[in-house]
Amino acid sequence: MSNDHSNVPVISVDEEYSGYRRKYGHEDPQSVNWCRHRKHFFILSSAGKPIYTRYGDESRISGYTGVIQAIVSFFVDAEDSIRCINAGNHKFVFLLKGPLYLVAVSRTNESETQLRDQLNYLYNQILSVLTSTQLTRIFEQRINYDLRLLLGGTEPFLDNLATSMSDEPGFMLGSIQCVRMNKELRDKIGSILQIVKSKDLLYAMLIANNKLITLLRPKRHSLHSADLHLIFNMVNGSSTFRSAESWTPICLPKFNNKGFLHAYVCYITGNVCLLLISPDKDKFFELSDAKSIIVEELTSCNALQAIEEVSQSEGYSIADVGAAGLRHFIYKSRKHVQYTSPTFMAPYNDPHEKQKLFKLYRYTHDRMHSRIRPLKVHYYVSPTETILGWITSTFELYAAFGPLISKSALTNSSHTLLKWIKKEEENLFILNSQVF
Amino acid sequence: MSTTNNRQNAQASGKLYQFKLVLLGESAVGKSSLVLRFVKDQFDDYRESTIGAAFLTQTISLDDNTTVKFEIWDTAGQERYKSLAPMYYRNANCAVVVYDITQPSSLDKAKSWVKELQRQADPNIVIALAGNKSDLNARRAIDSEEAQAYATDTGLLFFETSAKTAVNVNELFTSIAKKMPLEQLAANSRGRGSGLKQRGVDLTSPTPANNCSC
Repeated sequence: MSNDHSNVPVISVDEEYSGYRRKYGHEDPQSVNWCRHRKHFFILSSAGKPIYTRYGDESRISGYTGVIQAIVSFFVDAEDSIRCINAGNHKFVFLLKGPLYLVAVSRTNESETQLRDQLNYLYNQILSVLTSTQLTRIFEQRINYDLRLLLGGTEPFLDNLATSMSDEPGFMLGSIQCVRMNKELRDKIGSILQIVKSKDLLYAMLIANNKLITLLRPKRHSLHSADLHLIFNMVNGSSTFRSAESWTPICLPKFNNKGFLHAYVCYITGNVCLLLISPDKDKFFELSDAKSIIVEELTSCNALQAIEEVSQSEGYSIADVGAAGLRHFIYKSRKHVQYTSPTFMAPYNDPHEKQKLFKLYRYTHDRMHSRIRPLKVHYYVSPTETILGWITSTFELYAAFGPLISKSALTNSSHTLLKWIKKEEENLFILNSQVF
Repeated sequence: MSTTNNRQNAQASGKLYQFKLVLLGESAVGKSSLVLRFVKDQFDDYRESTIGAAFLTQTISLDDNTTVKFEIWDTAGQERYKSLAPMYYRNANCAVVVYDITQPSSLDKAKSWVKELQRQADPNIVIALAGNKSDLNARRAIDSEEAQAYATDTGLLFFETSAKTAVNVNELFTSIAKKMPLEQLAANSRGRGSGLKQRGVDLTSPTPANNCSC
């Protein structure tokens, strides 16, 4: 690829951005280190202007985005659209969304579908700060627009999302995780949220460490897991919410990709974040008052302390399950669109081992969800693990055992696990979210 | 998180005035840093961009009988939030417009905010211009005299501040409080305006608000 930038407009970014330091922001796109990253994401406009790169500085990748734009146009001219290029260990996956082109370049062994899902999450992240209406209008007015002028300050969210998609199974599974807690405590919190329901309030939720504690919603509007991921990513992606009460517009694309909702965000303890979402941009003080009521009620029944303690604990260990030979698992309740998983203990507390396990889960997930030949059960033995994938009408299970386990022991152990989950179900999952 | 600071504990009786203050200015000039220095006496070298707007309160004593509580809207400086700004300054009693002394463009942006405030906000609004990052004097791009002259011509309070070293931060907010026409506001401005107004104006309760005493 050409590294001649002289005839490409280089956009000055100097101090436009905040104090947030991007970990790989100063990497030279022509350097060996930059090329060595296992998974790149690029977002560009249909005119070829760089909008986002996971690594390096957007203003220095216009050589690459120009080439991407040319490749895409070549197929568009033939009334076709490019989806994927396989080149050795690398996959180039394309997602074309009107004025935006999103591209993943990966040697992580993730499948084309998984990578395209990830590009969709990134696209939704952009919609969540702009809405599709604004995005379309901007590029209708000026096809050459530099979208970074409007996205300034959202890099932490895109970066955080890119990392989370590799670390958290929720994105692949299209589901979210709840804080495991006593059902009575969760119900008590839910009934306290019910006190503040009003026409100003659309959703109320408590979140700790990217997990949902409880959710209050109108009967007619459930909250899609993809929108919840965006909310979690927003709360998790910026430390600024910890220092004040915040009030911000947010578009939840699955709820309505054309308009903004308004989110009141406030940490009520060190770990626990309260989110109140309103359709009305003028309701900050009403929601701030609602927060005071919630905190007061939670404090008076000692629930606040209890939530904080639960949210500080690491979750549960595989030993709690008592299934012989079971090393780790991910269980998704298909009905509740929630998953549960034990903490990563040895050997998986080592990041490298954890990534290897994830790779096996991803491989199993991809095989089972293959569009051509979907599978109900998948049994796979690697040199280090045996992975069982099992899909029924009610759940999806991915379980890791040692490589030498017998099939009968594996079956017994899996049934023990399912029994344990059934017994613990009401503490592991939100079975009935609070509605009004 | 309404934090009241120790300074308030000194006074037990007297008048409490409550004012809405809005911070405006280009992104990354240090609006949030100024507020956090003022409210929590904290500073973070690598603070991330504010998302939307942040709301904080701080109470200061002007003298034994006068306490001023600021309700502060710290707005995000990015372009995409521009259209939301009127919601925050519409009912503001005072504003701090911030620029970065090392960034010439940020003073231009500050001037355009001042114009907008003078055109659209409450006609009695008290505006202060703050040239932040005065600790970076070696990289200064805007002369104090130039900014001071502009502030004087336009009728603004003016300070060069450093959120990092805390220079002039409390002075900035205290002099705003002192410039507020306290009695007049207390008498006149009850219950005006619309939008994010609820606690927006004044209150002359004889007892100070007692949110928490950390």
